[in-house]
Amino acid sequence: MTAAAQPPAETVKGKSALDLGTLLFASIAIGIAVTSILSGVGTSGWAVMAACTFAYSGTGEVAYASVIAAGGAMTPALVAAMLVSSRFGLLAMSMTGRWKAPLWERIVVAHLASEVAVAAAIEAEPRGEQAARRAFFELALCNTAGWIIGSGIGLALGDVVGNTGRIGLDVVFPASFVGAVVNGLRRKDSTVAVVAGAGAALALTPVLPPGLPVLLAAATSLLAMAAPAATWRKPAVS
Amino acid sequence: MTALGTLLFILGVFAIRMVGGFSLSGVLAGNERVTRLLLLMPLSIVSAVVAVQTFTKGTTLVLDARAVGIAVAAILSWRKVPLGVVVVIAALTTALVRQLGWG
Repeated sequence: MTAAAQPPAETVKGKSALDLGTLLFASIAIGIAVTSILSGVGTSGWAVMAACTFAYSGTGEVAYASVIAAGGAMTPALVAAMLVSSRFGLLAMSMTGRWKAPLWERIVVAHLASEVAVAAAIEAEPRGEQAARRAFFELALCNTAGWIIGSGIGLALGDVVGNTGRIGLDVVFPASFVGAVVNGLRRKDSTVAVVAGAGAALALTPVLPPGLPVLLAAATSLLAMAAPAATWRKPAVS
Repeated sequence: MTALGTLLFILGVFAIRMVGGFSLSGVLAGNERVTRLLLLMPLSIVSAVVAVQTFTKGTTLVLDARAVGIAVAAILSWRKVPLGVVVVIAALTTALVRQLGWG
């Protein structure tokens, strides 16, 4: 193989320590933000830690808390949390068969299939199965570790954080994976997935309970299948 | 979140993930069209999550300071700025816009 045929160095290495460190930082911030919401509806410390560690669904926790805060009972709160978390089933499904893995690893992968980890694995996949596997676990472990540490800090801080919106903590979660979305705009088929997915979710929000719009928006990926799997233009010399 | 609520929440989300992770097998998992769909589907979902987290409150559509923060995050991400920088600037931007009295 000639030197010219090799991919540029930037695409060969895994995520940099800086990227992983900053993701860890972002996850800690999310953990703090979500914990303050959960604590706000009178959740005990051990329940906060158990939920963040084993359920690992921040949006699910927020959905549950918002139903309780609105005076709702446990059953509707659980239904809301399950609807909001339903996308994790599809994210887990999208990781099926990307690399050969024993049963225990498939269970771990399905459990850790968060937006950031799945997005990173898909981004890394052109570099091979092992690159995808490495990217997935790097991001998943940083995400989980930060999440658990952040929840712990959130419990310790208690009311110190106060109104999370005032310091912009409510955008930390979506901002942490907006990168995968804008990267999707570089190709035609994924642009359709990105634009139609967001459009469908917003259009359905006023008419459906929280969670269902995102679940149904996943179907727009079928629409994206009709678009060509190509970039918008030949990459310019840069 | 009560003890029972926490337990059911944990079991429920785990079940959702396992059903998703183990429902495709054999022929389907190797199918080329299925593989392509599984590449595109997360993007639809992630984009939908960002849209909902940015432009909605409950079941209403709203345009507030979050939109400014996420727009800045999108521009920075497009320019390949490291994730942590993106996240911190997005939060600070949102906080600043709120401080200025909007959203």
